[in-house]
Amino acid sequence: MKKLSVKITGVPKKVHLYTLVDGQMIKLKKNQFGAYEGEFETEKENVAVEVFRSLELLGKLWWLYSLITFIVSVLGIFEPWYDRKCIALECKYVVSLKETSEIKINLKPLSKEGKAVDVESDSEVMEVNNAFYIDKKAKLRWRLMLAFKIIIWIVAIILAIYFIAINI
Amino acid sequence: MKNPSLAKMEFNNFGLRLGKIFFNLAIFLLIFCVCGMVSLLSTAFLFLVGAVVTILSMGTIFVYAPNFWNSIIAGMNATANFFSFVIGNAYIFLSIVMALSIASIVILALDRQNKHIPRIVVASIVLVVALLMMIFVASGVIA
Repeated sequence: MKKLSVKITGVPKKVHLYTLVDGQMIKLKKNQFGAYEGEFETEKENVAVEVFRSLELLGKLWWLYSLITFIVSVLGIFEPWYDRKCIALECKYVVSLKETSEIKINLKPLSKEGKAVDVESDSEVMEVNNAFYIDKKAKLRWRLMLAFKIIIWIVAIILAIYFIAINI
Repeated sequence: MKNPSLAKMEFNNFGLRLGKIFFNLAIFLLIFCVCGMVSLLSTAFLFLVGAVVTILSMGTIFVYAPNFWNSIIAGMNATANFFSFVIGNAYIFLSIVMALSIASIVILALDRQNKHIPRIVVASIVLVVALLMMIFVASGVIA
């Protein structure tokens, strides 16, 4: 059985990263230094390691979840803001495994384009994909949500003024 | 991008967002309750301000502001009404604060990706304060 240790460093607090090894999601635990570590065991000679960022607005039920949280948070007043920049990252490496292999992925500061990570490994690593990009779908949904919120707030303010005027 | 458990990830993010909303709501409601209970002091303070201004100005305040005492009394009524409203519904408000705190603590503690220690600590403090306030109200210390 071959063992692969995966370590991801440089992850900002608000960024959630997910790691797949050969299509399987592996759970990474945060160590005392703020890095995420996990292990994967396999009999294969090569495995594909993918790291990606999950944006909240990319899900299938984004409209339902954002509507529920908008209502629960009293018209969005007590709701944390969704990520405005919608920067996604996609990186995939094929690692040739030894008995025990290690791959260290260092996330670069988020930017609109360019390489997303630097990789160090004691095994042979082939880069398939490594980039930051703006997710246009998430960005469009963010704008739609903002427009919806602004319209609802304007309607709420008009209704409030109307009811106050009636009572006076 | 292959993602075998996208629905689960989406639900986790939604849960985390709800946890943060509950945290924010609990703090706001607690501050609201505290302000309501403290408003009794502001009623007395307003009266004191009115009396001091009247004495120091030797009554001349009524020449410059004929409605001075009406304004003071209106302010006192408003703060007294606010106090009555909060005390009258204290059990409901404080129960909601406690429920929201507990919900946010549970949801934030279940997040495996990140630790939310500051929020959990603050939510615990909010819970304890709400519990103490409920005890004070029930015992008649504040009423």
